[in-house]
Amino acid sequence: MLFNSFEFAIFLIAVFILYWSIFNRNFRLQNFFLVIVSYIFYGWWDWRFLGLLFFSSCLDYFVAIEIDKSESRTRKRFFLALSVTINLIILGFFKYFNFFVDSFSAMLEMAGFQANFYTLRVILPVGVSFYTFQSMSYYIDVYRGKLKPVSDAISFFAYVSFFPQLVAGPIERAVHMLPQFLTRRRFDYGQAVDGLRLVIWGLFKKMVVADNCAVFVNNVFSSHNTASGYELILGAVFFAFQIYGDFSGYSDIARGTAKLIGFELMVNFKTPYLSRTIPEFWQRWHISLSTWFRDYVYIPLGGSKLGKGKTVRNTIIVFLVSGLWHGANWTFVAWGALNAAYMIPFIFLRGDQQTKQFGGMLDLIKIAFTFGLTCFAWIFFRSDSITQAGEYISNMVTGNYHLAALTKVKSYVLFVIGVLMVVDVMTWKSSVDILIKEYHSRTIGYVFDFFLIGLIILFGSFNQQTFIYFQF
Amino acid sequence: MKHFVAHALLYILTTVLMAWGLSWFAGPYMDAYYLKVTTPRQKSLVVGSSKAAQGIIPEIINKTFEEQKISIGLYNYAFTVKSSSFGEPYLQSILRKIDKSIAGNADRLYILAVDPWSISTISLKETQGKTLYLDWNFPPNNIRYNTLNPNPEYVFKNVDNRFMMIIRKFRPLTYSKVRSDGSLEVLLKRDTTATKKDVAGRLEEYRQNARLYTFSEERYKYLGITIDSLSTYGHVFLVRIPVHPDMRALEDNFMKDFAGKMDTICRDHQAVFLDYPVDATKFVSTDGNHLDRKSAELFSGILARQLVEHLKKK
Repeated sequence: MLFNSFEFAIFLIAVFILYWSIFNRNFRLQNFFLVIVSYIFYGWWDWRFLGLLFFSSCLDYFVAIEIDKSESRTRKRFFLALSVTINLIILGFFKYFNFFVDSFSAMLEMAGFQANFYTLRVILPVGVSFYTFQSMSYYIDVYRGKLKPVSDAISFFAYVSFFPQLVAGPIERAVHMLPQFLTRRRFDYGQAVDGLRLVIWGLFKKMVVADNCAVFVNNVFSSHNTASGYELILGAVFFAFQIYGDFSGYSDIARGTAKLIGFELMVNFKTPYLSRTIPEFWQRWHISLSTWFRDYVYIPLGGSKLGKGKTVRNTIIVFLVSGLWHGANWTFVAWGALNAAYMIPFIFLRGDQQTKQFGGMLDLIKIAFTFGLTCFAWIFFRSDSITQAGEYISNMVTGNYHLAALTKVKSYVLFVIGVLMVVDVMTWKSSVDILIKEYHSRTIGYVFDFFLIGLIILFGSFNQQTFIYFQF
Repeated sequence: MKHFVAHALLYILTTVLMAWGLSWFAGPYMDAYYLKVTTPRQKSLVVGSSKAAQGIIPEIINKTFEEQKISIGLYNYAFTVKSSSFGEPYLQSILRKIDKSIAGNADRLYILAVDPWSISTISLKETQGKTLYLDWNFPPNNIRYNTLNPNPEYVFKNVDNRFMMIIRKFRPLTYSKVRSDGSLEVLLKRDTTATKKDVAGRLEEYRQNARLYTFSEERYKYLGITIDSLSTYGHVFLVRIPVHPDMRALEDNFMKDFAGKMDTICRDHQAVFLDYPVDATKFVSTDGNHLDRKSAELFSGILARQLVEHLKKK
């Protein structure tokens, strides 16, 4: 069920009431209840993949115990390799089987051979990329000695299947999350109010900003060969806000929902479009995934410790893999490659590029430039094919620029993007729940919340568009 | 905990009140569909695309029947070719609009406006033995409740800019109006040159459609199912509304056996097909596809008299 659906609202209310009233005696009972409702939540999407979630959880639970029990390094490595291999095979099969078959087939045809491979109609289980990475980080950290394996199976299953972040993250780390599952959660009024506020803010970003931008974006991308230059540019810009509103909105709803039941999830987005450089952007965008790749791919490859050449290589590998993680399409690989290209100059620049304080006009120019680069890369992310992306960009360069085309942009969409950016500027160093707390005024909290609810009622899309990242 | 529950209840209540309050600003001045989903269930219906929405005026047909001491209570429940071509979504919506509490079917009738587009498709997809209709995404198919007044479901699912809806209450649309019988009247007055341009534009649009659309077995099947479903409540008539001669030629070229298909389906499902000839001297089209108001009134009068004759024979 979608976060912005009536069914989820009823589900959440029921979970909240039962969790705090009946299943609140101890953490084991709380976790048991969370496993049940999380499996119901996941089964609502597609009950056929409950088995996969269960299998993945069992595998990682037992592997972590075996890794910890093993005395020899070889045995530890064996179990690590076993679980990594199985998890990646599962992920690879569901996500990439048809992609690789089609690509291999196309390659053979280019070389003059006729290929007729059997393509399975593989359905991608919702959230498989997210929960696979989350549980992988668990046993890898056990292997590295960062934490001890959990003996309580129910707590572990609750951690893997935790419904607020099961289908689209944030990809949590066991070091941060598991201790929360191993303690009894106690109701906290302030935390619950913050949670409700985050849910409202997330719904605003998704239903008002993202879904309204999507209407314009879909029109432009489906008619990119006839759209004017201004429309094409705005199409890329609006997509930037669509994906930001969609994904960060989901993350905020996930964080808010988790707070309502006593959990703290990591912040996944920190005003990324106010980044002054590309490296800063990647410290602010989809933080859970970029830190996952940093800790489990980039650093094991050597990170930046083996000289500039290897740093460039490692950066390229991480971004290509990250691109491919997003989906089985060369457009995502191209998007990853482009971001790698953006990062490379910074590898050779000296000094710490990340100044903390905002530095006036120069920083504004940097923000605009970085945003422009990001929007350009999003064209590949949004396009159905490399060909479409190429045509889109080519038409941007050669297309007609009629000011009349700008009348297709609805003024209220610009207004809500403006609201989003104003709040982002105000929360540059924190987040919405912290910002409101700083005023120490309940009235301001009510005004902020009802203002957002008003905007959702006036401009929100109630046609239940799915979240973009559900397809990953 | 109690404090938070009170806090949450305040939010929920305020949200519901705001949403309900907003719905009171909705009205027929908003768009061409809202009024149709706020009226009660109806005794008899006109169904079909915008050709029927503009071309069949229930008020005139009802008056003709009343002169014969028959009260049919006809209402226009036609929308657009995108949403109200024959298929499962539209049929379900139609069935929710019929007053099933009325006994007997002698003085009830259902006018199904047909043309080649209503049994063709550009968007149906077959997957794993199931037909996927994009029609579900458009009104009236995407709402469950089509007799509520106000209708919050329609407002929140189909009105993008609800702030503008508030504005419209004080500055209504001036280019069209939905009458109390559900028929749509276009208020724009166009001169001959502008009309010729509109006709040329519309013909070109439909020439493109003729390249993209294909006959749909699924829609044709659902035309039959629609006839059967409505026959349990009253008499069913398939009507081909007159259009501009060039548009009719385009349609006939697109689906050469259309009349044959209608005759077959009427024979198989016990309905009557009334195919009105194109008569450019009698009927004036605003844009090649839709009759202007005067022509719609004339046509509705002719149709009404024919329907009375048919019903007398039954």
